[in-house]
Formats: sequence, C-alpha cells, structure tokens
Amino acid sequence: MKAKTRILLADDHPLLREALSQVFSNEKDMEIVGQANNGEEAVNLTSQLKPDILVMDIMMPKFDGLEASRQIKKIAPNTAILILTAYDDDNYVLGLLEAGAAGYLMKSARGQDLVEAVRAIRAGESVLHPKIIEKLLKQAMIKPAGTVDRKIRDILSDREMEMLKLLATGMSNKEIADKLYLSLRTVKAHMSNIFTKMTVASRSEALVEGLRTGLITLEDIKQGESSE
Amino acid sequence: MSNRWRIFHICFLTLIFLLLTLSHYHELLASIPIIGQVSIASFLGLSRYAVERFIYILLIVYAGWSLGLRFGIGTLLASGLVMLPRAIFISSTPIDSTIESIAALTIGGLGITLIQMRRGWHQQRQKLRGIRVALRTSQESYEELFTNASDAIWVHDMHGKIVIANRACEKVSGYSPDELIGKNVAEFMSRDALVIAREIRTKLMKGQAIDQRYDQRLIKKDGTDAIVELFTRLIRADGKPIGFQNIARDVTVERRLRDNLRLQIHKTLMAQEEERKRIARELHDDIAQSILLLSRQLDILISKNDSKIPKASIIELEHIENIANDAYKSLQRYARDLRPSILDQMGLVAALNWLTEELGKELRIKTSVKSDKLPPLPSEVELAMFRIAQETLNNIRKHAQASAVNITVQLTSNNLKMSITDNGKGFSTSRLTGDLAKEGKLGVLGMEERARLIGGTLQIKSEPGKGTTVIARAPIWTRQKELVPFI
Repeated sequence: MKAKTRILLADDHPLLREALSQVFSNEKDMEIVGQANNGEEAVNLTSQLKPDILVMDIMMPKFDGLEASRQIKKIAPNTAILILTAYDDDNYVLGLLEAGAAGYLMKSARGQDLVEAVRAIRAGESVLHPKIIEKLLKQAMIKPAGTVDRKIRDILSDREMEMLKLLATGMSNKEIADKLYLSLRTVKAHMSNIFTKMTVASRSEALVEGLRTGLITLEDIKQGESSE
Repeated sequence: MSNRWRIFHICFLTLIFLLLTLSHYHELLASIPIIGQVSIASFLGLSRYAVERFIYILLIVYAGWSLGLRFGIGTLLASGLVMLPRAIFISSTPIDSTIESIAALTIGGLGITLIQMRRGWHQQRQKLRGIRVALRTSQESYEELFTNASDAIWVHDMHGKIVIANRACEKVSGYSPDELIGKNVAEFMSRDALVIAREIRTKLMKGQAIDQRYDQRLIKKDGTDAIVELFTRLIRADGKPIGFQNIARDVTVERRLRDNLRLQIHKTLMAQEEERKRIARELHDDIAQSILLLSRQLDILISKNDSKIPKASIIELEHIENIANDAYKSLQRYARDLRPSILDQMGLVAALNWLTEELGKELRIKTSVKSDKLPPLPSEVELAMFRIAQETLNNIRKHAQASAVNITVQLTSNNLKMSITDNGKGFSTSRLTGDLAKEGKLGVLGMEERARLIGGTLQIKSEPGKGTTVIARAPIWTRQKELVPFI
C-alpha cells in the first residue's frame, strides 16, 4: 500500500485551518501531520516532521509565507510548498515561485482543486500555467547562473536527463510515458528520483534548478513551445 | 513774450522808424516841419542828422531787445538802407556822414550782438541752475528711496565689510544702520549660510547674472534666525568689481507658515498611510477570512460524499458559495488598492508592474515598466515612490486620454529616479505650490510632499497636446546634514 501523502498546514486563522484540514482528511491517500499558526512555526514543524507537502498561507505573522518558503527550502528541500495566495497577479506569483514554491492556488480555491493540486505536485506534474512557467524561467535566466554543478550532471542517469529535457518542453507525465514507451508509474518514479537528486520537490523547481545549473537551456524549453 | 506786447513793440518801432526816416529826409518832404530834432541837435553841438543817426542806433537796439535777433538785424538793414543813400548822395559832407552812418550801424549791430550774448548766457545759466536742481532732487529722491525702502538694502565691499545700510536693515537684523557699517557680513551667517553666500559670490564674479531671489538665513542681534529672500548684484566701478549690493525681504513668517503647512501635510499623509494600512489589514484579516471560511464550509458541505442533501439544495448552496467567493474577491481587491501587499513583499518594481498592468487592462492601452537592477530599498522610499506612481496613474486614468504609459526606474550613484510618461493630452503647469492648491490639484501637492518627505524632489513636465512626464527623485543614502534650500 502506497504511503499517504504527509501534509503540513500553515495558516494563522484557526477556523480556516480547521476547514482546510477537513478537506484533506476526507482523502484516503492524504494525512495531516501537523498544523502551524505562523511562519516561524511552519519552519520549525517542517524541519521536525519533514512533510511531503506544506500547504501554506502567504500572509502570516512572525514571518510571512514568502520568507518561510525561503527558509524551508534551505532546511527541507524535498518538501514541496503549495502556497495559498490572495492574489494571482503575475508579478506577485513570480516572486513566490522564485522563493521556491512548487505551485500556488487562490485562497478561495475549491476543496477539490486543493486536493488535485497536492496530488499533481506529488506526481511531478505541472501545476502552473505554461505562461507563468515561461516567465519564471526567463526570470531565472536573468539571474547570474551559479557554477555548473558537475555533480548533478553525473548523478542523473541518461534516462533521467532525457526525462528532464522532456519536462522542460512542458509535457505531462502521461505524454512523457507515451513518448518513451514507459508506464505512467515508471515515469512517476523517475520523477521522484530526479527531484530527490536535484534536491527539489516539484517540477517547476526542477526546471528552475535545471536552468540555473545549466542542465537544460532555454532552447530545450522553446522546443516545447514550437511543437504545441 | 506775449503776442500783444510784440504787436505793440512792432507798431511802436515802425512808427518811430517812419517818423525818423521822414525827418532824415525832411528836405525832400519840406512841407512837414519837425521842430524837436533841431533843439536837441543844437544843445548837443551836433548836426541834427548825426542825432538822427544816433536815434537809429537806439531803434536797432530796441528792436533787437524787444523783438529778437531777427528784428534787430532787420531794423539794422532797414536803417542802413535809409541812412546810407542820404549820407552818400544828399549830404553836404558825404565822407563824414557815411562814416557816421556806418558807425551808427556798427554800434547798433554791436548792441544787438551784446543783447544776444547776454540772452545766451542767461539761458545757459538758467539751464545750469535747472540741471543742478534736478540733480539735487534726484539725489534726494534716491537717498529717500534707499533710506526708507521697506526692503533692507545694504552694500558690502569685496571682503564683506558693510559700507552702507538703510533703515530697514534694523528690522531684519536687529542692528541699526550705524552699528552695521564696518561689520563683516560673515558675522551674521552660519556655516551653511556662508556656503550659499560663497556660491552666489562665485557665480556673480564669473559674470553670471542671478535673476532670481534666493533664500538665506541671517543671525539677528538677539541670536534668533531670520529667513530672507535675497537679491544680490555685483557693483562695478570702471569695469572693476568693488562690492555687492543686497536687497532683502524678511520672509521668516512666511517660511514658518509654509513649513507649518508642510508639517500638516506630512502629518496628514502619515495618518492616511496608517489608516489605509489598518483598514487593509482589517479587511483582509477579519472580514475576508470570515467570508473565506463561509465559502470553504459551504464547499465542504457540498462535496461530502455521504451527504444527504437533495440535489436542488446542492445547486442553491453552490450558488451561495459563488456569492461568497465574489465577495471575498472584492474585499481582496479593496484591501490591495488601499495598501498593496505586493509592495511590501515583492518590492517596488513588482508593484509598479502590477499598477501598470491593471491600468493597461482597464483602459486597453500599452504600458511598460523598465528598471535598473535595484538593491533592497528602504520601505519609506518604496512606499513614497509607489504612492506617487499610483496618484500619477490615477490622474492619467481620469484626465490624460493616453494610449501609452511608460515607467522607467533608474539608479544613479546614490539617487533613485522614477519617470512616468504618458502620451496623453497634457496640461499647462503652474510652478507655485499655492497655485496648484488653488486649482484644486491637491493630489499633485501630496505627491510633492511625499517626495520631499524622503528627501527627494518631484518634477512635472507637461505641455498641452504633448503628453506629460512625472519625474520623482530620491536619495537612497541620506546625508548627515540637512541641505539648506538653495534657489
């Protein structure tokens, strides 16, 4: 039996947190491992419990979701962060993604959407609109590139490199499976490995990290755009 | 001389002339006896003709004196015309008579000349007297002006020593004009004031004219400060600079009032920001969250798998959830417009992007934001810049009818410069803050104040039909001393 997805909730409004918790506890493949009341608690609990997914409100006292994200990415890089935000303004969102969020949803999103987003992130699927990804990647390129990490290049197997490049073109897991004549489960497993090796927790982070370390280039991404 | 007298003189002259001529030629007019001449002649021992010739002299001089040079000469010629024929052709002693006649004419001529010269001298002396009086009056007027002018006027030499000062200087400085003469102007100035004074002096010495008045601070006798609006001029003698003339108007009260006004505006702005922050937070934290909760609970209710709620009710509940969602979105929007968290969390450029994109979507126009790479900025600077941009874009939305808006943010040495340009219909600008307030453009005043509060400046360039550019500048690293305002 597959392990349940371990979820940590962070929101400064107790009633809302309660409602969120209800949403997830109804799902059989998910469990709530903890609840945080503010940014500081979120960081502490994450480092203690090492959840798979952190569902976090952007606006919290102590330090807000943004700052918490940055810190969490340092201490628990394999925890994917799903941010609940009040605004879906591009400029706003880019900032979130740069800080290391795997994805974002409006606070007013339906319970079902929340659940599906969590599942998608776990599966390594994209939860972001292609346009946002494009903007994010362009922005990542503007930043000075870190030194090309030889280690990662060596660690990733050829198969995984291939998959990463396909990831860059925006293909869904299913499409990748079809292309490489693999089963969906295999693809998901590979994804998981890739994320672990790159110490990221989601597809968008993998793309950003890939760009930064030089594993993928904008050309790889552009190929996807032209084929669509 | 009045006309009546002239006519009298002319008539009199003509009459005597005729009588005399008749007498002179009496033999030819034997029927008319003239007794008077004979008795005078014999009394003087002269021939009567000589006497007549003498009288001609009198006539000539009389004409010259009473009627002017021209008449004098005319009479001279007429007399000559009368006397000479008789002397040459009729007289028994032609040579003597001719000599007498010529002598008479000469004396008459001399007489006229003398009279003319005297007249000339007289006129000149009158003129001189007039000039002297005028000069004295002008000098007195100037002195009166200088002394009693309501503006303080003083002159100091190239080293700063005061040479003259008028009465008004006392009110401004606390020292009487006598006390001031001999003092050096540096005694009345603080270090910052001296800096300004030196700058002015350098400019004037270079030959640059300073047309505008500038603010300056002076230390009064009682130790307090006076703020004056000063106008300084370089004085030259023979082309060489010898000193400076200063005209000052005491504006201490005015400036205090203006500073008070600024303080008021400052306080109002701060209070406004605090209020907005508070309301935004309350909207977001309290009300929005409650509505969100409402929405979420409904959502949970609807999606419960084992729910016993009839289908029709589910549809109703979904409807209610939508309403709650919309309410939530509206609240978020109000909160954001009041105090955008994007500014606090993502920084100025992200916030500017958001502002312009919203405007672009609303008015369907092209917008762009270009920025240098910015270091983390102090939050007051970011907020001030943001509010200035927000106000500017509001004005564009309301008035400009523009089709393109561009924002540029540049970082130079230690200054941040934000330019907002639109290609709308523009407007004519007034420079004085007072005018702006009068025109009801208080938003612009607020922008100026915000810029000033962070030690920066605001400039608005616009021409009707040529669009508008708003430029806000602010120092990023503040200086220790406060800069004294200079021109």
